[in-house]
Amino acid sequence: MKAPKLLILATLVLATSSWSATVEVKRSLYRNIIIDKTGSRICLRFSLRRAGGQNQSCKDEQRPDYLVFDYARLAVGAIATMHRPEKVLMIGLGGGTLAEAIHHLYPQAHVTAVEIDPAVVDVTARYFGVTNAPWLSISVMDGRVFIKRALHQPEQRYDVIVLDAFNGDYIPAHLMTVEFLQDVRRLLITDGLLIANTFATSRLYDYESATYQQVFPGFRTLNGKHSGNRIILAHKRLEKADFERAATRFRAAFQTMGIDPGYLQQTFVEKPSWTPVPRLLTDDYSPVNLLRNNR
Amino acid sequence: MGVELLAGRLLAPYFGSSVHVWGSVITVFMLALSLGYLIGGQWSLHAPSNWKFGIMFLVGGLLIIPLSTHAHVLLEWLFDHFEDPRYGSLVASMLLFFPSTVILGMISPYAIRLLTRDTVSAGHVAGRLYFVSTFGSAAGTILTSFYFVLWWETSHIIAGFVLVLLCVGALVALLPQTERDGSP
Repeated sequence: MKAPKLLILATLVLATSSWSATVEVKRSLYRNIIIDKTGSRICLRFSLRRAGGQNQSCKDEQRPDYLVFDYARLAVGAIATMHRPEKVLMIGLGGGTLAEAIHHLYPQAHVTAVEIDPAVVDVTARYFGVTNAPWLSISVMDGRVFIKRALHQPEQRYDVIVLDAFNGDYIPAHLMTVEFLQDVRRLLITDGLLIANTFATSRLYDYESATYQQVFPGFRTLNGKHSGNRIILAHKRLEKADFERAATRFRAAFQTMGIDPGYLQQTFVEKPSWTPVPRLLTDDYSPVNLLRNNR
Repeated sequence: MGVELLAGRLLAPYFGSSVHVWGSVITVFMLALSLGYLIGGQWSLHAPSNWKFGIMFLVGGLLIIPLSTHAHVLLEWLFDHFEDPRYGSLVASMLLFFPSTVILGMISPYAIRLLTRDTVSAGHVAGRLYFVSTFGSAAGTILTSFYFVLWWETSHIIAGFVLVLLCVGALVALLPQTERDGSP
């Protein structure tokens, strides 16, 4: 019974892999960056030994506005609840898909993207066409350093801050501490929105939740059902109705991006819960990569 | 090595955790150790004693203390004065880790002098000493990165290292003072 199924599966796998071709392997200071092309879909991934690595960012050349990843659809859906953001800060550029989606929704907004890896900036410009523009400034810098510097300029505040610097393999511990989040909060306007792409599994989930709760009490989440992603949303008030309003306002944009308003509301969690932890993540205590391996 | 690992943690809030920051930390530790070896070797020529040897541990330990108490004041100041995180982290590492690491680097050559009875056994003594010191570095590295950071806060781990150095220093300094032509 099982053999024919396996055979079909194997054929399928072989067939799909034969369409996929690696276009470029770019060496970086941190890890190799691989650009794959499958049909009209072009993807950026970091080289990891297991299972060919994880795609970080993908773009469909025939549908350039379509958001391939579940987490991206959730994050953009959340940003769409904002009235008229003028300044958006993103920590982590990836393939620039989030930045472009924000621009698509709010053409008047200025987006600042901070990316630690110059090689990512390079391939994003060449393969994804996302590069410095009047609406987009890309800074090659560590996100923590950028935020600390920005705080020294009192006029530099953001309406939306997106934390998307976690690549699923190694987590920058200094971007997940109470002190860092306090800096982030100070850089947001009072009515600002923080969006963080975070972890839904492992012991880290509890620590991270407790740490966010300390700085952004009453945060909400979007728990992806098609992926292990959990998006943290911190805003003074954000409710299900905001997503309905966003869906009406951006009906056409949501459709081209592949954002399902119903799904967005399904994933919305008003009161996230977690197992209490003995202490919070701070600059003095941040074993996040060890916690990540604790189930 | 334990302190070296934690150095990255101390600097990350100010200069990030890019490769440059790790480059700075490792460079400074290597520089400090090389200078320490040189000075330690020189010092061993002048009436070496267990007492002086113990003092090295004590001074090394004491110089580490500010890392857990005052590092943030200094790092904050450097952050304001160095735009480029590469040079910021390099200067920070120099000021924070260089002095104590030079002193701790002096220990190995000095110990070789204390333990060597004659030229025939010199290689043997040096070999054993390298073994102990490098094995200790390996243990410090794995314990710190696998367990200590999970159990304790960075400042507490540093305090623990200081305590160990001070105890060892006191112990060595209080060892019976033998004539410094022979061995303890």
